Amino acid sequence: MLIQIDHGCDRPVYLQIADQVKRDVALGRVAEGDRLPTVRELSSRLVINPNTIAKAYRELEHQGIIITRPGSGSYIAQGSSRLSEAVREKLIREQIDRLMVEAIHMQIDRRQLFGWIDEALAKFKFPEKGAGDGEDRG
Amino acid sequence: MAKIVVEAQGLVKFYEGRCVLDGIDLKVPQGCIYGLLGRNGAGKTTLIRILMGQETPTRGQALVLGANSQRLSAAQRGRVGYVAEGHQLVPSWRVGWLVSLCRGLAPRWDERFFGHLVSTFKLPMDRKVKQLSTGMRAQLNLALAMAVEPELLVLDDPTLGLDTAARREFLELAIDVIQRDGRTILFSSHILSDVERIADRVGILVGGRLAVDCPLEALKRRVRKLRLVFAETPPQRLALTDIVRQEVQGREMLLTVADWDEHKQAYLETYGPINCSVVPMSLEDIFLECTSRRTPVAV
Repeated sequence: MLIQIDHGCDRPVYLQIADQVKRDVALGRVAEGDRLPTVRELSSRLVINPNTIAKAYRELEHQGIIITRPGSGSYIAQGSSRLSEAVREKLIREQIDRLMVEAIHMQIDRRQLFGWIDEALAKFKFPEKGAGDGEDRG
Repeated sequence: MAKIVVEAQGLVKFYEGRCVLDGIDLKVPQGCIYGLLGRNGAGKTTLIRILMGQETPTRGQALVLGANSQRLSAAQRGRVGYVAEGHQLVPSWRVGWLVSLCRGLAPRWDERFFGHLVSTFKLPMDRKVKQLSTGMRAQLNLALAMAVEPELLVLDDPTLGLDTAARREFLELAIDVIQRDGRTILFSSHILSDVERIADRVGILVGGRLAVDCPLEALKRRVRKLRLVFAETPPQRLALTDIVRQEVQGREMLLTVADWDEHKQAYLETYGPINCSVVPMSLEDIFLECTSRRTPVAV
Protein backbone atom coordinates (compact mmCIF):
# COMPACT_ATOMS: atom_id res chain seq x y z
CA MET A 1 0.00 0.00 0.00
CA LEU A 2 1.45 3.31 -1.08
CA ILE A 3 0.49 6.27 1.04
CA GLN A 4 1.72 9.76 0.40
CA ILE A 5 1.29 12.72 2.67
CA ASP A 6 0.86 16.17 1.22
CA HIS A 7 1.93 18.78 3.75
CA GLY A 8 0.65 21.57 1.55
CA CYS A 9 -2.86 20.21 1.84
CA ASP A 10 -5.52 21.58 4.16
CA ARG A 11 -6.69 18.09 5.06
CA PRO A 12 -5.38 16.72 8.38
CA VAL A 13 -2.75 14.00 7.93
CA TYR A 14 -4.86 11.29 9.56
CA LEU A 15 -7.69 11.93 7.09
CA GLN A 16 -5.25 11.91 4.17
CA ILE A 17 -4.18 8.41 5.23
CA ALA A 18 -7.78 7.25 5.64
CA ASP A 19 -8.71 8.70 2.23
CA GLN A 20 -5.92 6.82 0.51
CA VAL A 21 -6.83 3.49 2.08
CA LYS A 22 -10.44 4.03 1.03
CA ARG A 23 -9.33 4.89 -2.47
CA ASP A 24 -7.17 1.78 -2.74
CA VAL A 25 -10.14 -0.32 -1.66
CA ALA A 26 -12.41 1.39 -4.19
CA LEU A 27 -9.88 0.87 -6.97
CA GLY A 28 -9.62 -2.81 -6.11
CA ARG A 29 -5.92 -2.54 -5.23
CA VAL A 30 -6.60 -4.10 -1.88
CA ALA A 31 -9.36 -6.58 -1.18
CA GLU A 32 -11.32 -7.92 1.75
CA GLY A 33 -9.15 -9.75 4.22
CA ASP A 34 -5.91 -8.04 3.21
CA ARG A 35 -3.82 -7.13 6.20
CA LEU A 36 -2.81 -3.51 6.71
CA PRO A 37 0.63 -2.61 8.01
CA THR A 38 0.70 -2.24 11.78
CA VAL A 39 0.60 1.24 13.26
CA ARG A 40 4.29 0.93 14.11
CA GLU A 41 5.30 -0.24 10.66
CA LEU A 42 3.40 2.51 8.91
CA SER A 43 4.61 5.11 11.40
CA SER A 44 8.23 4.19 10.72
CA ARG A 45 7.72 3.97 6.98
CA LEU A 46 5.94 7.30 6.59
CA VAL A 47 7.88 8.97 9.43
CA ILE A 48 4.63 10.09 10.99
CA ASN A 49 3.68 10.10 14.66
CA PRO A 50 2.13 6.69 15.53
CA ASN A 51 -0.79 8.44 17.24
CA THR A 52 -1.71 9.98 13.90
CA ILE A 53 -1.63 6.57 12.20
CA ALA A 54 -3.70 5.06 15.01
CA LYS A 55 -6.20 7.85 14.58
CA ALA A 56 -6.46 7.15 10.85
CA TYR A 57 -7.10 3.47 11.59
CA ARG A 58 -9.74 4.35 14.16
CA GLU A 59 -11.44 6.55 11.59
CA LEU A 60 -11.39 3.70 9.02
CA GLU A 61 -12.71 1.31 11.61
CA HIS A 62 -15.47 3.71 12.50
CA GLN A 63 -16.47 3.89 8.85
CA GLY A 64 -16.47 0.11 8.61
CA ILE A 65 -13.61 0.02 6.07
CA ILE A 66 -11.28 -2.04 8.22
CA ILE A 67 -11.58 -4.28 11.23
CA THR A 68 -8.97 -4.68 13.93
CA ARG A 69 -8.47 -8.02 15.58
CA PRO A 70 -6.64 -7.53 18.87
CA GLY A 71 -3.18 -9.05 18.77
CA SER A 72 -3.45 -9.85 15.10
CA GLY A 73 -3.70 -6.60 13.18
CA SER A 74 -6.02 -4.60 10.99
CA TYR A 75 -7.71 -6.03 7.93
CA ILE A 76 -9.84 -4.73 5.11
CA ALA A 77 -13.41 -5.46 6.11
CA GLN A 78 -16.04 -6.84 3.80
CA GLY A 79 -17.54 -4.00 1.84
CA SER A 80 -20.44 -3.31 4.11
CA SER A 81 -21.15 0.23 5.17
CA ARG A 82 -22.45 0.67 8.67
CA LEU A 83 -24.78 3.41 7.52
CA SER A 84 -28.42 2.86 6.75
CA GLU A 85 -29.64 2.87 3.14
CA ALA A 86 -31.35 6.25 3.61
CA VAL A 87 -28.26 7.92 5.07
CA ARG A 88 -26.05 6.44 2.36
CA GLU A 89 -28.35 7.77 -0.33
CA LYS A 90 -28.47 11.21 1.26
CA LEU A 91 -24.68 11.46 1.54
CA ILE A 92 -24.03 10.35 -2.03
CA ARG A 93 -26.78 12.57 -3.44
CA GLU A 94 -25.26 15.54 -1.65
CA GLN A 95 -21.91 14.79 -3.26
CA ILE A 96 -23.56 14.50 -6.68
CA ASP A 97 -25.31 17.83 -6.20
CA ARG A 98 -22.02 19.45 -5.26
CA LEU A 99 -20.41 17.99 -8.37
CA MET A 100 -23.24 19.34 -10.56
CA VAL A 101 -22.90 22.84 -9.10
CA GLU A 102 -19.17 22.86 -9.77
CA ALA A 103 -19.65 21.48 -13.29
CA ILE A 104 -22.20 24.16 -14.17
CA HIS A 105 -19.94 26.91 -12.88
CA MET A 106 -17.06 25.55 -14.94
CA GLN A 107 -19.20 25.38 -18.08
CA ILE A 108 -18.96 21.60 -18.42
CA ASP A 109 -21.78 20.35 -20.62
CA ARG A 110 -23.94 17.33 -19.84
CA ARG A 111 -22.40 15.03 -22.46
CA GLN A 112 -18.89 15.71 -21.28
CA LEU A 113 -19.84 15.10 -17.66
CA PHE A 114 -21.62 11.86 -18.55
CA GLY A 115 -18.54 10.67 -20.40
CA TRP A 116 -16.28 11.36 -17.43
CA ILE A 117 -18.62 9.65 -15.03
CA ASP A 118 -18.67 6.62 -17.33
CA GLU A 119 -14.89 6.54 -17.32
CA ALA A 120 -14.79 6.77 -13.55
CA LEU A 121 -17.36 3.97 -13.26
CA ALA A 122 -15.07 1.76 -15.33
CA LYS A 123 -11.98 2.73 -13.34
CA PHE A 124 -13.29 1.89 -9.89
CA LYS A 125 -14.29 -1.55 -8.76
CA PHE A 126 -17.91 -1.73 -7.72
CA PRO A 127 -18.92 -4.79 -5.69
CA GLU A 128 -21.16 -7.34 -7.40
CA LYS A 129 -24.80 -6.71 -6.67
CA GLY A 130 -25.89 -8.42 -3.51
CA ALA A 131 -22.40 -8.71 -2.10
CA GLY A 132 -21.76 -6.93 1.15
CA ASP A 133 -25.43 -6.35 1.85
CA GLY A 134 -25.12 -8.24 5.04
CA GLU A 135 -27.21 -11.33 4.18
CA ASP A 136 -24.19 -13.51 4.56
CA ARG A 137 -23.38 -12.07 7.95
CA GLY A 138 -23.81 -13.84 11.29
CA MET B 1 -6.54 12.44 33.14
CA ALA B 2 -2.95 12.08 32.03
CA LYS B 3 -0.19 13.34 34.29
CA ILE B 4 1.06 16.81 33.41
CA VAL B 5 4.78 16.63 32.72
CA VAL B 6 5.47 20.25 31.80
CA GLU B 7 3.49 23.19 33.00
CA ALA B 8 3.93 26.93 32.66
CA GLN B 9 1.82 29.21 34.83
CA GLY B 10 1.65 32.83 33.79
CA LEU B 11 5.30 32.99 32.74
CA VAL B 12 6.57 36.49 32.12
CA LYS B 13 10.14 37.32 31.17
CA PHE B 14 11.73 40.71 30.68
CA TYR B 15 15.17 41.15 29.16
CA GLU B 16 16.64 44.59 29.65
CA GLY B 17 13.21 46.14 29.84
CA ARG B 18 11.94 44.26 26.80
CA CYS B 19 9.09 41.82 27.28
CA VAL B 20 10.06 38.45 25.77
CA LEU B 21 7.38 36.27 27.32
CA ASP B 22 4.06 37.90 28.10
CA GLY B 23 2.10 35.47 30.26
CA ILE B 24 2.52 31.91 29.01
CA ASP B 25 0.18 29.21 30.25
CA LEU B 26 0.99 25.79 28.92
CA LYS B 27 0.37 22.18 29.86
CA VAL B 28 2.03 19.17 28.28
CA PRO B 29 0.51 15.85 29.38
CA GLN B 30 2.45 12.62 29.60
CA GLY B 31 3.01 10.90 26.26
CA CYS B 32 2.36 14.07 24.30
CA ILE B 33 4.63 15.27 21.52
CA TYR B 34 4.38 19.02 21.73
CA GLY B 35 5.65 21.11 18.84
CA LEU B 36 6.46 24.71 19.69
CA LEU B 37 6.43 27.05 16.72
CA GLY B 38 7.24 30.68 16.32
CA ARG B 39 9.25 33.11 14.30
CA ASN B 40 12.81 33.96 15.25
CA GLY B 41 12.74 35.95 18.45
CA ALA B 42 9.22 34.88 19.40
CA GLY B 43 10.50 33.51 22.70
CA LYS B 44 10.78 29.76 22.01
CA THR B 45 14.31 29.38 23.36
CA THR B 46 13.62 31.63 26.36
CA LEU B 47 10.59 29.52 27.28
CA ILE B 48 12.60 26.31 26.97
CA ARG B 49 15.50 27.73 28.97
CA ILE B 50 13.15 28.69 31.80
CA LEU B 51 11.64 25.21 31.73
CA MET B 52 15.15 23.77 31.99
CA GLY B 53 16.05 26.05 34.88
CA GLN B 54 18.72 27.91 32.92
CA GLU B 55 16.85 31.16 33.11
CA THR B 56 14.67 32.67 35.83
CA PRO B 57 11.21 33.93 35.01
CA THR B 58 10.37 37.54 35.89
CA ARG B 59 6.94 36.38 37.05
CA GLY B 60 5.03 33.12 37.11
CA GLN B 61 6.46 29.67 37.47
CA ALA B 62 7.33 26.58 35.49
CA LEU B 63 6.86 23.00 36.67
CA VAL B 64 8.78 20.10 35.20
CA LEU B 65 7.84 16.57 36.33
CA GLY B 66 5.77 18.22 39.04
CA ALA B 67 8.65 20.24 40.52
CA ASN B 68 9.57 23.90 40.19
CA SER B 69 11.97 24.13 37.27
CA GLN B 70 14.19 26.55 39.17
CA ARG B 71 14.80 24.07 41.95
CA LEU B 72 15.14 20.67 40.28
CA SER B 73 17.15 18.11 42.22
CA ALA B 74 19.88 16.13 40.48
CA ALA B 75 17.64 13.05 40.50
CA GLN B 76 14.81 14.98 38.84
CA ARG B 77 17.19 16.41 36.27
CA GLY B 78 18.35 12.88 35.50
CA ARG B 79 14.86 12.08 34.22
CA VAL B 80 15.02 14.81 31.60
CA GLY B 81 16.91 14.64 28.31
CA TYR B 82 17.77 18.03 26.91
CA VAL B 83 19.21 19.08 23.59
CA ALA B 84 19.99 22.78 23.62
CA GLU B 85 19.86 24.99 20.58
CA GLY B 86 22.92 24.83 18.33
CA HIS B 87 24.21 21.48 19.64
CA GLN B 88 26.96 23.03 21.73
CA LEU B 89 29.38 20.38 22.93
CA VAL B 90 32.93 20.89 24.17
CA PRO B 91 34.80 21.22 20.84
CA SER B 92 38.24 20.03 21.93
CA TRP B 93 37.00 16.80 23.55
CA ARG B 94 37.12 13.42 21.92
CA VAL B 95 33.70 11.90 21.34
CA GLY B 96 34.57 8.80 23.40
CA TRP B 97 35.64 10.93 26.36
CA LEU B 98 32.45 13.00 26.21
CA VAL B 99 30.38 9.83 26.08
CA SER B 100 32.12 8.25 29.07
CA LEU B 101 31.62 11.46 31.07
CA CYS B 102 27.90 11.54 30.27
CA ARG B 103 27.58 7.83 31.01
CA GLY B 104 29.27 8.33 34.38
CA LEU B 105 27.02 11.25 35.31
CA ALA B 106 23.71 9.68 34.30
CA PRO B 107 21.66 7.87 36.93
CA ARG B 108 20.34 5.57 34.20
CA TRP B 109 22.03 4.68 30.94
CA ASP B 110 20.75 2.39 28.19
CA GLU B 111 24.02 1.16 26.70
CA ARG B 112 22.32 -1.11 24.19
CA PHE B 113 20.17 1.68 22.76
CA PHE B 114 23.09 4.09 22.79
CA GLY B 115 25.24 1.54 20.95
CA HIS B 116 22.47 1.10 18.42
CA LEU B 117 22.34 4.84 17.81
CA VAL B 118 26.11 5.16 17.53
CA SER B 119 26.25 2.41 14.91
CA THR B 120 23.21 3.74 13.02
CA PHE B 121 24.74 7.18 12.80
CA LYS B 122 28.29 5.81 12.37
CA LEU B 123 29.55 8.17 15.05
CA PRO B 124 33.35 8.06 15.32
CA MET B 125 34.38 7.70 18.97
CA ASP B 126 38.02 8.62 18.36
CA ARG B 127 37.39 11.94 16.68
CA LYS B 128 37.20 15.30 18.38
CA VAL B 129 33.84 17.05 18.65
CA LYS B 130 35.06 19.94 16.50
CA GLN B 131 35.93 17.51 13.69
CA LEU B 132 32.31 16.35 13.46
CA SER B 133 29.92 17.79 10.91
CA THR B 134 26.91 19.74 12.19
CA GLY B 135 24.69 16.78 11.39
CA MET B 136 26.89 14.37 13.36
CA ARG B 137 27.05 16.74 16.29
CA ALA B 138 23.25 16.90 16.30
CA GLN B 139 23.04 13.12 16.20
CA LEU B 140 25.61 12.70 18.96
CA ASN B 141 23.78 15.25 21.09
CA LEU B 142 20.46 13.51 20.61
CA ALA B 143 21.97 10.07 21.26
CA LEU B 144 23.41 11.37 24.55
CA ALA B 145 20.07 12.88 25.54
CA MET B 146 18.19 9.69 24.74
CA ALA B 147 20.58 7.21 26.34
CA VAL B 148 19.55 8.39 29.81
CA GLU B 149 16.06 6.94 29.18
CA PRO B 150 14.43 10.32 29.78
CA GLU B 151 10.80 10.58 30.79
CA LEU B 152 10.84 14.00 29.21
CA LEU B 153 12.86 14.94 26.17
CA VAL B 154 13.26 18.63 25.43
CA LEU B 155 14.67 19.57 22.04
CA ASP B 156 15.35 23.17 21.09
CA ASP B 157 15.23 23.40 17.31
CA PRO B 158 17.07 20.09 16.92
CA THR B 159 17.13 20.05 13.12
CA LEU B 160 18.51 23.55 12.67
CA GLY B 161 21.48 23.43 10.31
CA LEU B 162 20.91 19.83 9.24
CA ASP B 163 20.65 18.93 5.57
CA THR B 164 17.55 17.20 4.22
CA ALA B 165 18.91 13.67 4.59
CA ALA B 166 20.20 14.24 8.13
CA ARG B 167 16.90 15.85 9.08
CA ARG B 168 15.07 12.81 7.79
CA GLU B 169 17.28 10.46 9.83
CA PHE B 170 16.67 12.64 12.83
CA LEU B 171 12.91 12.44 12.37
CA GLU B 172 13.02 8.67 11.94
CA LEU B 173 14.85 8.49 15.22
CA ALA B 174 12.31 10.76 16.87
CA ILE B 175 9.54 8.42 15.68
CA ASP B 176 11.49 5.54 17.18
CA VAL B 177 11.60 7.36 20.52
CA ILE B 178 7.92 8.21 20.37
CA GLN B 179 7.08 4.57 19.89
CA ARG B 180 8.61 3.80 23.26
CA ASP B 181 5.56 4.36 25.39
CA GLY B 182 5.03 7.09 27.90
CA ARG B 183 7.74 9.41 26.62
CA THR B 184 6.89 13.07 26.54
CA ILE B 185 8.64 15.30 24.04
CA LEU B 186 8.66 19.07 23.84
CA PHE B 187 10.41 20.42 20.80
CA SER B 188 10.67 23.70 19.03
CA SER B 189 11.06 23.97 15.31
CA HIS B 190 10.65 26.28 12.39
CA ILE B 191 10.08 23.50 9.86
CA LEU B 192 6.35 23.03 9.69
CA SER B 193 6.28 19.76 7.79
CA ASP B 194 8.44 18.22 10.55
CA VAL B 195 6.02 19.43 13.16
CA GLU B 196 3.11 18.05 11.19
CA ARG B 197 4.83 14.68 11.01
CA ILE B 198 5.61 14.17 14.64
CA ALA B 199 3.61 16.50 16.87
CA ASP B 200 0.33 15.67 18.62
CA ARG B 201 -0.18 19.18 19.80
CA VAL B 202 1.13 22.50 18.61
CA GLY B 203 1.70 25.86 20.20
CA ILE B 204 2.42 28.98 18.19
CA LEU B 205 4.28 31.74 20.00
CA VAL B 206 3.63 35.22 18.67
CA GLY B 207 5.22 38.19 20.37
CA GLY B 208 5.72 36.38 23.67
CA ARG B 209 2.20 35.01 23.81
CA LEU B 210 0.88 31.58 22.97
CA ALA B 211 -1.46 32.52 20.13
CA VAL B 212 -2.40 28.93 19.38
CA ASP B 213 -2.36 25.88 21.65
CA CYS B 214 -4.38 22.95 20.37
CA PRO B 215 -4.20 19.41 18.97
CA LEU B 216 -2.54 19.37 15.56
CA GLU B 217 -5.47 17.98 13.61
CA ALA B 218 -7.84 20.48 15.21
CA LEU B 219 -5.70 23.34 13.96
CA LYS B 220 -6.59 22.76 10.32
CA ARG B 221 -10.23 22.41 11.24
CA ARG B 222 -10.43 25.38 13.56
CA VAL B 223 -8.64 28.02 11.60
CA ARG B 224 -10.61 28.93 8.51
CA LYS B 225 -9.89 31.29 5.70
CA LEU B 226 -12.96 32.45 3.83
CA ARG B 227 -13.45 34.45 0.72
CA LEU B 228 -16.65 36.46 0.89
CA VAL B 229 -18.06 38.34 -2.06
CA PHE B 230 -20.62 41.04 -1.40
CA ALA B 231 -23.06 42.70 -3.78
CA GLU B 232 -21.78 46.07 -2.69
CA THR B 233 -19.01 47.31 -0.42
CA PRO B 234 -18.27 44.73 2.29
CA PRO B 235 -19.18 45.73 5.86
CA GLN B 236 -16.36 47.54 7.64
CA ARG B 237 -16.89 45.91 10.98
CA LEU B 238 -17.83 42.33 11.59
CA ALA B 239 -19.12 41.60 15.05
CA LEU B 240 -17.20 38.35 15.13
CA THR B 241 -14.63 37.18 17.65
CA ASP B 242 -11.28 35.51 16.95
CA ILE B 243 -10.60 37.24 13.67
CA VAL B 244 -6.99 36.52 12.85
CA ARG B 245 -6.90 38.58 9.69
CA GLN B 246 -9.30 40.57 7.60
CA GLU B 247 -8.56 42.06 4.22
CA VAL B 248 -10.86 43.90 1.86
CA GLN B 249 -10.28 44.23 -1.86
CA GLY B 250 -13.17 45.86 -3.68
CA ARG B 251 -16.27 43.74 -3.14
CA GLU B 252 -14.24 40.85 -1.87
CA MET B 253 -13.25 40.15 1.70
CA LEU B 254 -10.64 37.66 2.86
CA LEU B 255 -11.25 36.62 6.41
CA THR B 256 -9.23 34.30 8.63
CA VAL B 257 -11.04 33.17 11.75
CA ALA B 258 -9.87 30.99 14.62
CA ASP B 259 -12.17 28.60 16.50
CA TRP B 260 -14.45 28.29 13.52
CA ASP B 261 -17.86 26.70 14.15
CA GLU B 262 -21.39 26.70 12.79
CA HIS B 263 -22.43 29.59 15.02
CA LYS B 264 -19.87 31.82 13.43
CA GLN B 265 -20.88 30.59 10.02
CA ALA B 266 -24.54 31.39 10.70
CA TYR B 267 -23.57 34.77 12.03
CA LEU B 268 -21.48 35.54 9.01
CA GLU B 269 -24.37 34.67 6.73
CA THR B 270 -26.47 37.43 8.28
CA TYR B 271 -24.18 39.94 6.55
CA GLY B 272 -25.58 38.59 3.29
CA PRO B 273 -22.54 37.78 1.18
CA ILE B 274 -23.53 36.67 -2.32
CA ASN B 275 -20.82 34.08 -2.29
CA CYS B 276 -18.77 32.44 0.42
CA SER B 277 -16.01 29.96 -0.25
CA VAL B 278 -13.39 28.31 1.92
CA VAL B 279 -9.77 28.90 0.97
CA PRO B 280 -7.75 25.75 1.78
CA MET B 281 -4.89 26.34 4.19
CA SER B 282 -1.86 24.20 4.86
CA LEU B 283 -0.16 24.27 8.24
CA GLU B 284 2.34 26.69 6.73
CA ASP B 285 -0.43 29.03 5.62
CA ILE B 286 -1.97 28.92 9.08
CA PHE B 287 1.38 29.69 10.64
CA LEU B 288 1.92 32.65 8.34
CA GLU B 289 -1.56 34.01 8.98
CA CYS B 290 -1.13 33.72 12.73
CA THR B 291 2.32 35.27 12.87
CA SER B 292 1.83 37.96 10.26
CA ARG B 293 2.92 41.34 11.56
CA ARG B 294 0.00 43.03 9.87
CA THR B 295 -2.67 43.64 12.44
CA PRO B 296 -6.25 42.77 11.68
CA VAL B 297 -8.24 45.62 10.23
CA ALA B 298 -11.24 47.14 11.97
CA VAL B 299 -11.40 44.88 14.98
